[in-house]
Amino acid sequence: MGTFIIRPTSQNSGGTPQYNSSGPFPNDAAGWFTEDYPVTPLLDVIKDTVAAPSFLQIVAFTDGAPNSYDNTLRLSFSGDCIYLDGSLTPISFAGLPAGFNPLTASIKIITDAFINNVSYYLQHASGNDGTVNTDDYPYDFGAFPTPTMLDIISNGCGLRVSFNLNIGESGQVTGVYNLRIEGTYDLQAFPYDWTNDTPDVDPRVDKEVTITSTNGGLDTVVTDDTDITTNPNFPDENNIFGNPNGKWSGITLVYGSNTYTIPSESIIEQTADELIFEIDYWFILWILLLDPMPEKEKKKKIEAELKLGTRFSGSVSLGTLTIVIADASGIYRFVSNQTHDVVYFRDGYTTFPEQLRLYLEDDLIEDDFFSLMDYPYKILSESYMEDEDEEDKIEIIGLQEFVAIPYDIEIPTPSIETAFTP
Amino acid sequence: MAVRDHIGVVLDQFNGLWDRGDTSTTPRDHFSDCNNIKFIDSASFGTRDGIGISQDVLIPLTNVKRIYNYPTQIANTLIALTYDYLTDIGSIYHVFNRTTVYGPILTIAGMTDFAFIPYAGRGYISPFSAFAAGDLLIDKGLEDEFLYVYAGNGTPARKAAGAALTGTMTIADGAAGHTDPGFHIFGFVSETVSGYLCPPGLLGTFTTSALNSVSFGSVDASGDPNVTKRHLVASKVIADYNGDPSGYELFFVPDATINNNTDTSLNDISFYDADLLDDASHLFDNYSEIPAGAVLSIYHNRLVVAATFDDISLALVAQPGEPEAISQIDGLIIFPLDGNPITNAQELRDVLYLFKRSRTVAYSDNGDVPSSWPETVIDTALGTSVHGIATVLDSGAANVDFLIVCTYQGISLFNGRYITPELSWKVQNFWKNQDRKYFNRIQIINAPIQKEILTILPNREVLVGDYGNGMDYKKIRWSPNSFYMTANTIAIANIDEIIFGSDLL
Repeated sequence: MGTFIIRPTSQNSGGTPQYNSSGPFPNDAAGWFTEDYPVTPLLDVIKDTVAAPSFLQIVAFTDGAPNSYDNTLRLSFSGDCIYLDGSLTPISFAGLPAGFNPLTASIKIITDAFINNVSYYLQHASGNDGTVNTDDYPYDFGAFPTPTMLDIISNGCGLRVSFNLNIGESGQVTGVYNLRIEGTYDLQAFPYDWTNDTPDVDPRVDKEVTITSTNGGLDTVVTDDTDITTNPNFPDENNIFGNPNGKWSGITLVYGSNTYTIPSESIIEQTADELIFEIDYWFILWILLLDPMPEKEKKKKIEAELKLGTRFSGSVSLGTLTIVIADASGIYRFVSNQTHDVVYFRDGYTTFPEQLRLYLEDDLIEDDFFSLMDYPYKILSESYMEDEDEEDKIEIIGLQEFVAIPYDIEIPTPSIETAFTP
Repeated sequence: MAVRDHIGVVLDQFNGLWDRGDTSTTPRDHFSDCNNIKFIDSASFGTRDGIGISQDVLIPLTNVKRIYNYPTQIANTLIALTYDYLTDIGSIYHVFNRTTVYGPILTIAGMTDFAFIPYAGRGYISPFSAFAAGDLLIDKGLEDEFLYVYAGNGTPARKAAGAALTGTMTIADGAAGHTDPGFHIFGFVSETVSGYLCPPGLLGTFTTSALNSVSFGSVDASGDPNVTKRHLVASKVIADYNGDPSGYELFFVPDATINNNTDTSLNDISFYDADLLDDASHLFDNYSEIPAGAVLSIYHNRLVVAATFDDISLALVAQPGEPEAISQIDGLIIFPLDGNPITNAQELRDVLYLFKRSRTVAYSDNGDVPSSWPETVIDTALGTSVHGIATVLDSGAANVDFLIVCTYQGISLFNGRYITPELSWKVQNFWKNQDRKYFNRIQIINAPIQKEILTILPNREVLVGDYGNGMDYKKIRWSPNSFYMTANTIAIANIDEIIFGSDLL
């Protein structure tokens, strides 16, 4: 288990210091005060780990009419703002170690002295006030959903000050500084394994991949992230591999430098120990759009890195998933009263000796598009075959092709809707 | 109100998809959405029939882009185009039956589609593709490509038409015989295996004698291996020769044929000018290579080719009974120019209808050359795409009473004018939501045995219209069908077997 501190990096709103506390204060004054405003920005003052010389004060006077004040100082965390285990060198959220899991987190501040009539509140997200006049506002890790490190970072923090003074009253909070989040964490171990429902054959579209964990934790994998409203997959011209639900999971397939996010509707089952998802057809289209002319040797099998994004930081790689692009193209016919579809299933190679290939000498290749081929051959409609002189150039070469067998599948989602159904 | 007081609504009529206006206006006897259903009898429905593989071979065709029905003299077969995304090469195969495939019979780079028409047992093939023109895609023949003819026996397709014989022959008096003495022009016309007569070539001049026949030597064979005969042609006696051998009428000389493509002489030919009746001069004007187009059709036994690469509004019309004989002078029809290509051509009730994507024009054969045929504008808003007219059964030809035409408006019946409301009236929104840019993907067939109209949609699913209850816009029942793979093309084989082709993408 380790500790972490998050310090604010920018001031979003509120709390422009009003006066230099060396005075004199006006008769009716209320607000934030610092020693040397504007020399030292308020952000630097409030996050400073020591009070002197520029600590923040909250001060209020009134000699005349009643005086009221309500202002919130909002701060955010970005970039290198996290200090792990007492380190003086901050890191960013993306730099957290894999499996980083916060166990406790609390917004804290130091206030040296409190004088009557002032109310102040620490905040998590905007409007989320802690207990009044309390220097510690913890996150509730017993609630659901459990706060994630991303939540903590994204929420930022705040300090709200509020008071109502009658004539002649005053209020003050002195020595306000060292605003931070402190917490503890551990690192989750990922003893994950995965398999597909046809272990002897590489998975393909509509096949299931099962991820198992002997240490639980799979229930923390995001499977219905509705916060992402845009398609995270690129490229996606015309949204042809969009997802009607618009919901995305934390499971990704990384192909080259591009990442494909599995749609949430492809998640079939999820428990702490097991997560099952289906390889969807959109992934194949995405691959072919990225790599429309894959190398001939690889065009049927795609290797993609399978990664799990969790509620912890970062993502966990589970290894390389080899997916077969199932080529069901061909000529089909409707069959009366057949209750399922039968498609071509191409798997495995065979040498097809009936293919005739001509071995050409250099001078015959030069003049046409055949020189672009990755192997030498000519179309059979040319008349060269008739020429006896060309016979010695003929060579029969076996050509590898995919063997196709019939494969039964269900008829895709027969359905109806009437005006009476939603 | 208690549940027991409700009066149930009985749904006992299921008349297919209704997609017109707001969903709430869907009639009770229609579906607001449906997929993969078929209609049983007049009032029932169920899951559609399954599909099965059509080829029973170890390595079936892949990436099928287009299929046509091809009736040969001995069987009802298919012609199919496959496309290799790796090499950008289209290959055409002759699928003879489930276990036999010939080919590829033609392989051309860039061929993503082709037009096809069967004629006298042969098949005429025209390679084309879609080209970007602004936001649109226009279909036209491939550049520097031509019309091909396929014999139907598995031998590769060859270029249609042919060039004239070349070379220099010798002409001399032959043995005792007869001619009309005087100055004649002689030449030879080669004939291909498909009956095409090439322009006269090997032209030479000779002054004949009254009492001698004429002998010809050094008659070179044609470089085209498909030439099977060479016919002698001659002019009548020329009194004042102007030096241009192609400027005079030439006639076929009776009984003066070399019945092969190997012999180099023809000897002792006797004839009188009065015997010269069969004109051969018109052959000079014919295309020796017919440019590829996006449209092939037959009208009054004439082959029609339209939308070539360079002339998208031009239709080439052949001689009756001679599909490869197209005059470059008067075998042309110019569709009114509007920047769009001719997309389709169909004969209906003795009239040739030419279509563009949003225009329909009629031409009537007046017995004269095609360039003289009168033109009648039928519609200036409705037209169709390259495969947007329904063929019937496996004939590849339109029904004699009407055409079923896919227009931007919908699927319409056409009997000389577009009948409204259109047949797809009930699914108007569904149709208009299709992507117009890809209307060239539409292919439609009419299966009268099943009483169904099947349409490949731009999104490559299939729209099925069941007209078992009647072929009108109210009674037809529509249902979209989808499959594991995308559908590119559809055809009918063996009278009632519905075939479709799919590819990987």
